[in-house]
Amino acid sequence: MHEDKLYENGKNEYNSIAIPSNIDESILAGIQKAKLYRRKSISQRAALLAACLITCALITMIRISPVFAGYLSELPLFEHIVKLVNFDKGLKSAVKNNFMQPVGISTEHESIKLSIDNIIVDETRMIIFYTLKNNGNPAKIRMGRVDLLDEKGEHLKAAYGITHYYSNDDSSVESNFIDVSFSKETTIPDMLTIKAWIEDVPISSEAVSIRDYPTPTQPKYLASVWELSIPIDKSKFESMKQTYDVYKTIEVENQKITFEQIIIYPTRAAITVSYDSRNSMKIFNFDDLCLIDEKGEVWGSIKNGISGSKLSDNTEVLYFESNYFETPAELYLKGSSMRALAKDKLEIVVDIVNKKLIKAPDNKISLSSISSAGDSYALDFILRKDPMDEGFHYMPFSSIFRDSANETYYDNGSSSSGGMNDGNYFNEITLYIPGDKKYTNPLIFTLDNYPNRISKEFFIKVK
Amino acid sequence: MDILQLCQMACSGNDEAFYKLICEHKAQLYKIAYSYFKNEPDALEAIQETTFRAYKGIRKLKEPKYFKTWLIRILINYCIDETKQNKKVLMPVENVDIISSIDGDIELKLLVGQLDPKYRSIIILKYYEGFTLNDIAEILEKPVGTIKTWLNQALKKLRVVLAEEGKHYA
Repeated sequence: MHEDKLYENGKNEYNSIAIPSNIDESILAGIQKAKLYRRKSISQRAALLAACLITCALITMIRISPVFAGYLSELPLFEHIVKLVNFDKGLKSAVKNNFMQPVGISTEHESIKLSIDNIIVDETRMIIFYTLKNNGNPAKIRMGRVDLLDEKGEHLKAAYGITHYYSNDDSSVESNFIDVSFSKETTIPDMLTIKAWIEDVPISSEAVSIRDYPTPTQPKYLASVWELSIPIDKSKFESMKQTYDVYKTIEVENQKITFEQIIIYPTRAAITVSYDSRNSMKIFNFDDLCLIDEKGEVWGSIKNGISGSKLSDNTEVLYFESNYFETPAELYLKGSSMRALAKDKLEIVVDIVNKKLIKAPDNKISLSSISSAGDSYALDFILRKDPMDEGFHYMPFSSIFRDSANETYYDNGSSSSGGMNDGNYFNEITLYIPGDKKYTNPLIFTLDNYPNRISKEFFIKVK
Repeated sequence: MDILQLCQMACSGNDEAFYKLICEHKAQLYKIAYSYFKNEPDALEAIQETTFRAYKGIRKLKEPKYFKTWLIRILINYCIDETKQNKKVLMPVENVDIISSIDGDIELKLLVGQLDPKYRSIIILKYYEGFTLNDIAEILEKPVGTIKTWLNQALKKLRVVLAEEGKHYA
């Protein structure tokens, strides 16, 4: 018998193997099994991330028990996203009401994979959920700089940012989101291009103080650019908003404040507030302004993201959690306290030669040192806070300052860390200013926020 | 839509593209699996497991054009592992005798069934599926030289079996 004949026989036999008709079921079963498996691993990462958030916020030390972790791993996929937006009940509600647009695309360079998983978008805001996975790059990475471009390659006219949570956990996966705030000038594209530069964060795993992280002036990016284009289905949010005209003025310690209009979008509620130009004080922030319904359900301000935008010197839009999907029967604006400072006390004057504060609103702020930090000078301040500011980090300075010759400059960033001493809460604030300028001493900084308050309870009907 | 486009879509997480892609290769996968297990349930189990592993791992696939090679590698690794654990797929020598005496011919499939899993893979891929030695080296993640050696050894073993059978039935 000839060998080739044998192979021929075998081959014929092989080719005549019948494909069973139920083979597709096996394929689908395999995909189903893999999806369940993937959900499980994503939820476990969510548990990890939730753990990081809790630790980093320094609220309390909670150990995730195996029982709790096991429970998390059983939750369906979208719960992972819910964990990410846990701080914002409006976004949580948007996810639960299927307002999320799935994307599911990715690109990989230098063993680092960037995936855009989902977006939540309406005409005022967009949340881009991404996952960065380090498949073996030695760098400790995080999302660095991001550019958002429209179809023509032009920068999107919008404000956006990413809140990073540091943890001691050496996880190779970052699941996070880019929070994009649209303005009147924004044209939302049908196809959005995201260009991302990934930062190599050269820190030891023991680093816990903000000082151990690079100042905003010296990020180190990896060489590649991660670029992805995602479609935005605008028909999904067309005319999705509820508008209420309020136009009610309140008076708090002789300061007149007018609530003009509230527009509730799926992703946030926008409240337009104006301040009388004759007010003697500048109102920085509302401490406890919120939307409340007839049942006492509260929607608060957006803390982890863009909290407001200025329309003019005396008018601004403040952003709150959305109750778009809840549609309460009655809705009220409620508040009692705000941070404000006399308009003639808004400047802090620093003598950089003698390292002294020449002018300050009061003795709550002091200058502790001025030192050289790379290409910047670091100005260290200590700010004594009110007890109610315990968990709040003041960034009191506007990023523009001027010298005595009236030249204006931009700072190189600032940082704030908290502490407590003799029962007093304080922030250590470091302001970085360019080190290569010939300043005319002293320098004049403007306050954007300060622990000084005015109060009066108010309750306004919206609908 | 061509295979490469489907691959790219599947790699970036498109479930439908992934399903289409597996369906595109299902006949080939099934035949290879059947050659190992010689029964339908085990072969279908192999298809399910291969789909599962491929879906889990597709994000790691760097070059969509190697999808097919990669998929068959997953299948063969599974088949080899299973046959190692489960000796039932190896044909007992008596059966060879019975069938060959009925047909008056010795079917290569039975002889191949007696080979070590790694030799079996090479015979199936080369003679049944028509892959080149380079393709087989890719699939089995071994240098081409190793594949050549294995093929040579596999053929030698087959010849030994053939020679012995020939002695019996000449």
